[in-house]
Amino acid sequence: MIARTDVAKERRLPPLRNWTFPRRMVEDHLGLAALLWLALLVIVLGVAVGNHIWDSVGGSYWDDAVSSIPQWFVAFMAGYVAYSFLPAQIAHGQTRREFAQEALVYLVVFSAGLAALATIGFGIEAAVFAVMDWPHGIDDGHLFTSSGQVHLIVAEYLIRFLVWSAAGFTVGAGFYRSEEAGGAALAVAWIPVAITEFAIGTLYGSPLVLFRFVWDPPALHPVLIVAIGLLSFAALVWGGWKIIHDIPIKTKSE
Amino acid sequence: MMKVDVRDLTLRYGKTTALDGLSFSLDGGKIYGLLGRNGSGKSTLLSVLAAFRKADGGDVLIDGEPVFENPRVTRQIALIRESVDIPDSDDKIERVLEFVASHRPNWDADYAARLLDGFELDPKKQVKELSRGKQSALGAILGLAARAPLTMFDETYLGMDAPSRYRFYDEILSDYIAHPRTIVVSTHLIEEVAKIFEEVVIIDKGRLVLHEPVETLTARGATVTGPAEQVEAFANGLTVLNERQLGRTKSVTVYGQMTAQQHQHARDAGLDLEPVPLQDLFVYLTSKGGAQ
Repeated sequence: MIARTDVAKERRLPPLRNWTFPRRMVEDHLGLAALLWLALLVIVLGVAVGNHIWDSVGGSYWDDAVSSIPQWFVAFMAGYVAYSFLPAQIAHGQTRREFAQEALVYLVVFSAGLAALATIGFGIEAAVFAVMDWPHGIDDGHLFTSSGQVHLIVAEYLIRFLVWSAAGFTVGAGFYRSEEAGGAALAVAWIPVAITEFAIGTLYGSPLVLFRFVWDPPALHPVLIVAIGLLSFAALVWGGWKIIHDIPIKTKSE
Repeated sequence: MMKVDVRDLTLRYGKTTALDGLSFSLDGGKIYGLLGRNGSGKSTLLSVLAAFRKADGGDVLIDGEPVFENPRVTRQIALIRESVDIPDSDDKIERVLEFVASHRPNWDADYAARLLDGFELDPKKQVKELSRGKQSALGAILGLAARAPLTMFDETYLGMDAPSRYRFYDEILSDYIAHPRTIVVSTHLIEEVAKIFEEVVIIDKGRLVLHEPVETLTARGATVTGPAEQVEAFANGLTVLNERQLGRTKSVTVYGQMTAQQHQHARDAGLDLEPVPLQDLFVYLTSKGGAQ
C-alpha cells in the first residue's frame, strides 16, 4: 500500500463537489412531456366532442388516457437517463454517487412535474365538461372520486410516476451494465410496481392487470397507499444504486 | 501537476487478465507516451486511472488519493477515448460543449471555439452527422479544452486524416507549454507522436515492460548507416532490430548501450550513428522474447 499524502491532498485538490441540479435532464424531459401532454389533452377533448356529436359523453376521457400511457413514458425516459447520461457524466468527472444523487432529484422532479400535468388535465377536462354541461365522473380504481380532490389526484400520480420512473431507471441501469443484469432488473422491478398499482387499485395500465380477475384486493386508506408507494420507490432506488455503485463505463465495442 | 502511483494493479475480464500486477509511478507535469500492442492492457489501464472501472486488486493513487468514486480526484481527470462520451449523438456540437463545460472546472470555452475552427467543425452539426475522423477531432477538443490536470488520450486520433493528426499533436504540445499539466497519450502511431513524449511507459500482457525518459530509451540502441561491409562488421555480435540496404549503403538498427569505444570505432569507420527509432525499440521490446 502507498502512504496517503494528506499534505498534497490539502494543497492541490479542490474541495468535494456536491451534486448539482440535473437541469438538462429535467428541462428536456419535462419539455417533451409538456408537448405530449398538450397533444394528449387535445386528443382527449376531441374524443369527447366526437362522442358528444355521434353518441353521448360519459365519464372522464382524461382518466382513461392518463392512467394507461404516461407511466410507460416515465419509465422509458428514466431508463434512458440511466443508459445514456450515467456513462457520459461519469466519463466527464462525476462519481457514481454524485450521478445517483442527481438522478434521484430528476426522478422526483420529473414525476412531480408529470403528476402536476396529470392533475391539471383533470381540471381542464372538468372545466370544459362543466361549460358544456357534460357529466364528469371518475372510474373506480383511484384514490380520488372526483376531479375536485386535487390532493388525492396529485398523491396518486406522484406515487405512480415515482415508482414507474424508479423501475425504468433500475432496468435501464441494468441493461447498461449487462444484458444479464438488465434481464434480472426487469424480472425484479415489476414487483414493486405491481404492488403499488394493486394498492392504488388500478384497473388497467398495470403489469398485473389480469390478476385482478383472480384477486381484487380490498380498498386501502390513502395514507397506507402512499406509504406502500414510497416504500416501493425506495426499494427500486436502492436496487438502482446497487446496480450502478461500481458500474464499469464501457467502450462502444463492449 | 498530478502524480500517478500504480501499485500491483490487477483487472480481469472473466478469465482474461487484462492488468497483471502492474506497478509504476508518474511524477506528473510531463507528456507521457503509453505504448503497447493490441490487447496489452493500455485502454484498461487508462480506464482504471480515470475511475471508469474499479480494479480487482492493487492501488491507483492520484496525488496520493485513491481515484475510484473520489470526486476530488475524478473531476481533475479527463480520459478521452476513441468513442466520444456524450449523452446523445443526436446532440449538436454546441450542446455537447455546453454539457462538458458544466462538468469541467477548468473548461476554456474560448479555446474550445478556436479548436472547433482549427479542426473545421461546425457547432451546429449533430454529432451523429460527423465522420469518424471528425468525431475523433471533437474528442480531442473536449480533452484539450477541459484543461484537466491529468489528461489522457486513448487512441483519440483514430479516423483523423494526417493533417488533423499533426494539428492534434501540435495542439497537445503548445497547450501543454502554455498550461503545464500531466498528459498521457496512448497510441499505435509511435513515430508520428514520439517527438512530443518526454517519458514512455510500455506495457505488454498487462505488465510493465519499461518506463523511461525517451532520451534514455532511444540511447539503448543506435541506427548505424554506411558502406555495407563496414556496417555489417560493426553490427557483428550486436542485436539487430532492423536492417535496410540500398545499393552499397546499408542501415542497421542495433539494440544495446553503445560504449564510447564503439562510438569512436564507428566514426573511424566512417559510419553515421543516430538514436534508435522509438518504434523499432517498441517492436523489439514487445516481440516474443524481446522484453527478456
